[in-house]
Amino acid sequence: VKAPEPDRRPVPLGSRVALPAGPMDTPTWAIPHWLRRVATSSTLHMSIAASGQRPTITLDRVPAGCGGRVVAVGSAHAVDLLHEGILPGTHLRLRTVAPVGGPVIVELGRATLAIARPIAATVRIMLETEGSP
Amino acid sequence: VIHRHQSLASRGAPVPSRRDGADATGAAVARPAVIALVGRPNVGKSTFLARASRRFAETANAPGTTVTLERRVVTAGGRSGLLVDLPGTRALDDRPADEAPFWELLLAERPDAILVVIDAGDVGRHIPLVIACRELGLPIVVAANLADEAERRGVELDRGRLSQLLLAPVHRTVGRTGDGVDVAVADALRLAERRVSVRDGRSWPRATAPASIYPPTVEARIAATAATTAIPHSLGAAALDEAPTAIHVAAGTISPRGAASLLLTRELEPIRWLTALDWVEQVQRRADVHPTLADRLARLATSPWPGLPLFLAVTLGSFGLVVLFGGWLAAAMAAAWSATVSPWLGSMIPAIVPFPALAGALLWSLDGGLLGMIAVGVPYVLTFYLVIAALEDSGYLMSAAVLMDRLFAGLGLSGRAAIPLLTATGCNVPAVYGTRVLRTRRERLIGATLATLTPCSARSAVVIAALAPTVGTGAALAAFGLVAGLALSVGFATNAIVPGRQPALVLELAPLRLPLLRHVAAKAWWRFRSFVVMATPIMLVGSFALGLVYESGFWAPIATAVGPFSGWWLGLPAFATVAIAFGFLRKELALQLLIALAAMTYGAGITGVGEVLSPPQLFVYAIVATISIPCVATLAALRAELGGRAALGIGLGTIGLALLVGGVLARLLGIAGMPAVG
Repeated sequence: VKAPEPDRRPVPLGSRVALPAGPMDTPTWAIPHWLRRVATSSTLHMSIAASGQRPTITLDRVPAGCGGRVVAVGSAHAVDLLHEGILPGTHLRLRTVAPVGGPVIVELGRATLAIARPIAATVRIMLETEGSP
Repeated sequence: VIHRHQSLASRGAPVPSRRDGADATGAAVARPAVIALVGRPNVGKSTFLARASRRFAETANAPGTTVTLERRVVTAGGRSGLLVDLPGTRALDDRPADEAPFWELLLAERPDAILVVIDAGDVGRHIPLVIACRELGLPIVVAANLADEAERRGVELDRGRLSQLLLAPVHRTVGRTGDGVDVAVADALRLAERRVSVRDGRSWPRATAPASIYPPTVEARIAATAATTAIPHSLGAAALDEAPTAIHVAAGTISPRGAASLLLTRELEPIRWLTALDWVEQVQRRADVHPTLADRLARLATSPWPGLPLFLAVTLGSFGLVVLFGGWLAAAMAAAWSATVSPWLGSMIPAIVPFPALAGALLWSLDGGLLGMIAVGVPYVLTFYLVIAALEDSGYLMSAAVLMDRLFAGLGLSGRAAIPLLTATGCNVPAVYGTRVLRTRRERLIGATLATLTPCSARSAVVIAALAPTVGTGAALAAFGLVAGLALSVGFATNAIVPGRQPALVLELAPLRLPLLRHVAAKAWWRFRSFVVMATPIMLVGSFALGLVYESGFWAPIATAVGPFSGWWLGLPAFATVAIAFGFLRKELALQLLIALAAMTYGAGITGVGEVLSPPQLFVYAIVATISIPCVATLAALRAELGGRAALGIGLGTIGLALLVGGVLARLLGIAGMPAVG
């Protein structure tokens, strides 16, 4: 998948982005639920390449070294994440994953964040850059 | 609400209404201009405060080091005022250290201007807080701090453009060297003074350009909310009850629009962040420079390999440094003392003081007591402080702790707890206060329990000084391992017993920084000085009292009272048990008294403890002294933070644990039931 020019202003200012209060958005691309559950990120890439659409996956499943743009944040931890600058439109990169179910470690601009996996699971990412694992 | 009124009233000055200015006849209370330091965690506010006031302030490269307010008088540019250091916050409605949201803390100080400290290398993350502060209706000055670090990383900041966008002066500052700090403070004082003079009716408010980042629909909502916020004074306390922001509007601390921005913060905050994304494009340019060594190290430290082995190596290395350097220093100083001062005291005091018992007690205090200070307090505690200060300023342990998040989760804590637990290795008292960064009472209870079980510098000094020179370095290491194992078991047990679960976390990691030698030395010296000032009198009085008991023949009844239990259960002579009990006052006292005993009865120096106690006895002694009841200062902190019952529970619990472990160890090592010596 070729990385396009990153769109820095995905949401026009003032268009009542507020906090995504509802449940998490549903991905638009059509992969059966059962397949999504077993799909690794690489198979996701292939299926996306085939369908011509870009993948959105939750942050806890982003492979190390990959970057992307946040497209949706679940409401449960939205305030906490917002205070760290994670809201629809921000770019981030996954650095590493701490062992035995520890937090994911994410680079956001110059900052480094440790995000517990249950919280990371509420953040939906559109992959943009492929990292070297 | 009552406490809110009190907090306003307790500041001494009457709450001025906006009409005060009109009828001011010179009777207005002269209040110094108050400037609040606001910024995200770990942006260097405390370093900034220390620079501005030219006095030391406790800092570390870790978010959440400041949990209490610190007020300092500052003078810059011919003006003076009060600079208030507030805990770091991510947003005005964040709850950084306590139950109250940050804006309540901020407005209770009734600031006349806000000095917002931001990271010059990453302004996008900090702009939303600046916008939020600006909307309060207070004059703001922005300090683009950590500028040297930003420049090293190839980040270029257009301060002129940022200043245009924020409608506020933006200064380049470097807290660590003091560059630009005075200029920024002087600017804030100028704006604050101007505001004070407007409020007192001495000058007219200057017309300011309307500045809004919001679209008309949101702006209309703000205006509507602002109209309801401006409750007239006459409505009284009942109305204020419902709108805590209104009291600040009535007092003239913030504008009605400011109050509205606080009430609507949930709606406005995302727009502020999106605006920040937009503005960063205009003010920040990033040159592609090779990542600094610190950044590359940070990547290594947060990856499982080689992060975990590195963590082990750093921990053992620090331990080795304290053992080697502290041991060398202790031996050298004790030898010098025994060679010069000790004989002189030994001949002088009996000659001057006519009563043998009193002379003996004085010798205990001046010779033995001070030798104890020199052999334990000074070398080991000072070395420990230096190592801890360097580690704190590097920010390394914080990054490493993330890798062990699962361990913390098992203990019922979030990774945030790493901050107070790391503090605890220096001293338990600030660590107990530091548990405020934890979100739930349950987490704070577990965190505080673990903090009191973490060997502080004094207890580490006791363990190392008692075991390393006499029994061996391995024994000291084993003792630390045993204590760590016990603390972990207690943590797991507490987590299982206390109902509830730990909250998941989002935590910003501190970047690695090369510790400045001057900073580390200043911090270690500051802590060390307060240690010496606090501990020396207690040591002198404690050893004098014990010496008096010993020399005047009152020791025998005490020994017969304590001895049987001490010997039967712990395998220790009565004297060692009494010394451990004295450790309640200050932990290092436990060993220092033992050294005093060795010096007075056997005439030996630091290695003399080896003649008073056998190696297995020393091991049991060190363990029991380390685990048993925290010192009185820690207990007071526990009581203040968690209440009397929790403090009592933790205190009694540690005594029970210490006696249990000591008894079991005594049986395993085969010293139980030994006849009591002394």
